[in-house]
Amino acid sequence: MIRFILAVLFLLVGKFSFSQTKIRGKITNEQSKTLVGANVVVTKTKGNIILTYAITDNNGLYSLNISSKLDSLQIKISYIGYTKQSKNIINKNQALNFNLVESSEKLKEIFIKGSLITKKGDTLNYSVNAFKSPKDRVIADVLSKMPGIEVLSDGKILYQGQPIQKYYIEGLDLLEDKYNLANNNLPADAVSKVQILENHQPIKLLDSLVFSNKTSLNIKLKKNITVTGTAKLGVGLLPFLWDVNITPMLFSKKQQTITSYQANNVGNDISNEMKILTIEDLLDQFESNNEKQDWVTVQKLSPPPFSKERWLDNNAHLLTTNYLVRLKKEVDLKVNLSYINDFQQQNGNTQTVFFTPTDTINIKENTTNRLYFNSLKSKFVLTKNTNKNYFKNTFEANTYCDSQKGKIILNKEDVNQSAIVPFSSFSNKLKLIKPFGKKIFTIKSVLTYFKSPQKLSILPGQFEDLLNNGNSFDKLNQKVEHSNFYTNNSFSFTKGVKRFTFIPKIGFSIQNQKLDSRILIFENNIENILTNEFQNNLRFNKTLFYSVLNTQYRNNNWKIELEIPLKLQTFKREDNNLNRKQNLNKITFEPQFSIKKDLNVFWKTTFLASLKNNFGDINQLYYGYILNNYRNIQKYETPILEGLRSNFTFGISYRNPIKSLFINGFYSYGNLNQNLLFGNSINNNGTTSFSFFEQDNNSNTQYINLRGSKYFSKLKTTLTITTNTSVDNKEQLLNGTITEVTRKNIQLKGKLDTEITKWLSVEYKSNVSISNTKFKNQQSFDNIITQEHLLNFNFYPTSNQYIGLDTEYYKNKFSNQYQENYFLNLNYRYTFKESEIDLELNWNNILNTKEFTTVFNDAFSYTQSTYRLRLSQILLNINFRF
Amino acid sequence: MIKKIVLVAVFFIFNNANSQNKIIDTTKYKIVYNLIYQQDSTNIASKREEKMLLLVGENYSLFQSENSRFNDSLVNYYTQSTKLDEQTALNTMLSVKKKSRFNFKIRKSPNTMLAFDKIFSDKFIYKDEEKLNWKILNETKQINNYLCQKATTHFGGRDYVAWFTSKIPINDGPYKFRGLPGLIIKIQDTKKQYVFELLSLKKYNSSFSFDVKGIQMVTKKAYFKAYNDFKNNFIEQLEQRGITFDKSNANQVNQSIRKRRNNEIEID
Repeated sequence: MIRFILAVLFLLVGKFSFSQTKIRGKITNEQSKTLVGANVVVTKTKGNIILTYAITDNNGLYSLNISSKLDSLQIKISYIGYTKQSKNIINKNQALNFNLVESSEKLKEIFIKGSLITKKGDTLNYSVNAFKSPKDRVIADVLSKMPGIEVLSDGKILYQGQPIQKYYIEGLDLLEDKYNLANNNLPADAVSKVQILENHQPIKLLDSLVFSNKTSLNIKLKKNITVTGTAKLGVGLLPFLWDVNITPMLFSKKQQTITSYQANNVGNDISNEMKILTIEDLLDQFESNNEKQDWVTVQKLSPPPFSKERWLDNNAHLLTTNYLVRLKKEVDLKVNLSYINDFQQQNGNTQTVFFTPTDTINIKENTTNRLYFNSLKSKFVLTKNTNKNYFKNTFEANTYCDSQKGKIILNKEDVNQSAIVPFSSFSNKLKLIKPFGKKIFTIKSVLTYFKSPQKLSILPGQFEDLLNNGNSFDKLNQKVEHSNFYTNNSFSFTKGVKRFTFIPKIGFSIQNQKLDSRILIFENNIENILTNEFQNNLRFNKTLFYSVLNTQYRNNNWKIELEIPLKLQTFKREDNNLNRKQNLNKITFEPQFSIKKDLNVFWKTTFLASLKNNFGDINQLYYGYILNNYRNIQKYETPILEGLRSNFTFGISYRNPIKSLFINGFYSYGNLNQNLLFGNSINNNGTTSFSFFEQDNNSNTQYINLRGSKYFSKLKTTLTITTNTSVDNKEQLLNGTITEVTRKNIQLKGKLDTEITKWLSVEYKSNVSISNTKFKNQQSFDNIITQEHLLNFNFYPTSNQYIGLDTEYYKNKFSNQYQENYFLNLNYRYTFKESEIDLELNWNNILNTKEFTTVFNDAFSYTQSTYRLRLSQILLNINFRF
Repeated sequence: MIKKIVLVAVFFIFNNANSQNKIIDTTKYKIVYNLIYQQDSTNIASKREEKMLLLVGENYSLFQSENSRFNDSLVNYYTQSTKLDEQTALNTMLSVKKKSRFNFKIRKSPNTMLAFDKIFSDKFIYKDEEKLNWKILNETKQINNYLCQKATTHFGGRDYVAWFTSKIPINDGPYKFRGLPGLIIKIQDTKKQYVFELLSLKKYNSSFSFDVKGIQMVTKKAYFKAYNDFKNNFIEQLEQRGITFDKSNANQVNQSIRKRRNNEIEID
């Protein structure tokens, strides 16, 4: 029996071993080189159906297991670039080596016609529609959601944290720096695409030569001609509130116009619409030196550190029109005109305690201000932008007729102030870029002129001791007339040599300023013009010749930039009436150096070093007294301020997306050496005199910033923590004594984002800051601790509804006193899907918090300031497009 | 959402520009596949197409989308073949660059497979050691005059049906598929959400590169976890990288990103 079973088993095993044939072998070429990845297939002797196959391994070996019962089979060997071999074999275990012969025969090319490729889908994919959510109305809403793009509360657009350079619509730059007029009004629906032009060079000619690390943005419209616009009508009660914004727009490939009328009294700061937004423009403005400067002012209140809509009491109207036409190919003319009228009121209390080494002085002010703004601005820009040259001329004329009225109850006495601060300016800027041979030359020329006759009246007279031998008087007038002529002209070109780029530049600038001022006192209606040290007839002339060499070097992991400017500066300061003058000639050397290096995939470092001179300007150079506001009168008899600032910054960052961990930090050290020492003296009635004294002195600042962020995937929560620490050391003259002052500030910010469900997300933000001031050899002042906590809930009950509940908590602590403020705001939005009309209900300041108190201190004073806020208000808005 | 992906593509280009590509192989054949894929598994109308390239070289093959390859070569052209500085080059590139939904590059040699992919602007390489178990069936059919035989396999959470021809002795195919005794002419998953079909094959003498230097090497698992975290919490993840947003829309953005990317080729 057992034998029988064994026999059966033997037979069975034998059967199995017969049905599973093993063939092994090696594939080589004629040079006996093993062929890796060759195909070995087994088929029937006739036919192509593959029964089994193998691919040769690293040693050119293959191994086949054949389960076919056929007696004979065919084995085929193939390899690209070699002639195929096939061989009929007997189905039995065996070793078979093959030697393939190289072949020049190529594979037959294949091209399949009528392929499935169509263009569908792709462009749709990139439409704004696909990107926008139902809540979005205007293009700014959509932009703010795009990765890398940030829209700040003032409308400035940042890309990767840097302000954008240009905002184009269909490639035309209609609004220049006032781009948020379009950004806040162009309906998201009219836009098909938003293009980010990173490292965009807006000058065609330079396209192939100079790099720009600025980003620009281009809005692509759906239709060739788009007439569109938005309107917003909002009303509210108690008091009657309105918020109107009508903005019709026309865009075509050759002409674009945008006009806007806006009016509100709900705390929406209309002048934002006119704000200068790009960094380039800010630099230009700084350079052209024609920013409005108020020499005299009513005593203002410091505003609370949160959204203006909470506290701005306004009544504003804005009419603006912008027109851009393509005159001929590549020549554009642009005209911007705008008029603003605004009336703002401020109410509040300020309590200031001045610390002097011997005494403390306490002042209480109750302030009511009425500020009137009237301005008309115009701008004409002609641009020619071709591949051969680039020409841009900008002419601007601006007029302001601003005035201010202020009433202060100072320790139970009324002080009435009235200021008229007009300002008018003209400027012309020319930029020309032209190639000469293989080089590109850039010529820039700026010419500006402004005049500003200003006046401040104070009732009753102040500074009796100084101005009227200690006798009180009825009224005090300060008149100031400032005029300024400025021109700056430069010439530069770019040269690239391998990995280096050199940009040398030469130029000169001239600035001539006139400052005339008078102080008048009135006693029993008799006007008395004060003479001598109460008048200024200052002429201040600056000339500057400069040459700058900028060198850039890049390779894989390194980026190095060095700028070496050499400047020859001349200053002439003269007041003939007072018989005072000063001349100063200086040669300055202000190098700047930066290195960026990637250490490895996780770590990146940067290092920056710079040296810079600065010199005092006319507002710190007048020999006679000028009254700036009712409690500040001063003169500067000291020499021209000369400062040398050196700065070092080291930064390091770590990125690990696998762990969702991002950390970066930087340290910076700055040192300032000046020939003048800042000081102040406080008079018994609390009026202060700031001044400078001739005394070499040194101050330094250290700053550390750290930021870390981690995502916890199980909790669906992102945690971000930021800390800022700064330490300032400087010397100050305080009522005649030189004192070393140390100021420390530590700020800790936290942010937590959690998605609780698909229809509810919660965001928590906090900001705690501790600051401290200490005079050397004295006990330090108490810490000031401010805290800010925001907790926001966002609900999305249905796709066309949104409910936002924002809670805010602010706390100020100084010594044992503290102030707390709570705010609660509710926003509800309902969208009628078919008509795309939005209904919005905003209930701001639900808790009806009436005022906001902040505390701050500086080296010699402590100020507690209370600002009257907008009361609880409900506003119903309708937004629609036409 | 797709805007974001555009921007992701922009970052993609930018990052690439920083590395100088080292040539690792010369190509012999360029094979083009058409890929039809369904972005949203719940919406059959969300099908899109893209051309994908398989470059067959002496020792390696490289698979990537045609557009991303075009962008890569732009980068090479501008960073190596001209005197332009990088930023100008990038500026110019941006005006001509093409869009691609797929950032990956797959480098296969007979015994290894390396995959390059990105999460936002960060680049990664992982080794894919998953072996494909092919089952060869007796079924055959003519596709474009080639006699193809059917084979099936399971990969990345999907069941696939492939048609290959031994007439073309390239044992390779689209994406990570390979190891059949002949070129894969067509391969699709059983739900037809990823369908690759051969469009062309031609001789192509060029070179290709696959940089590993300076790129973080991770495990396949770690890569997919990080990718899914990124995709599922798009806004928060970007904020971590130092980009800030208006939060009132975060929820909607996140959800639509998830919806648009809920159907990756590898789902497990």
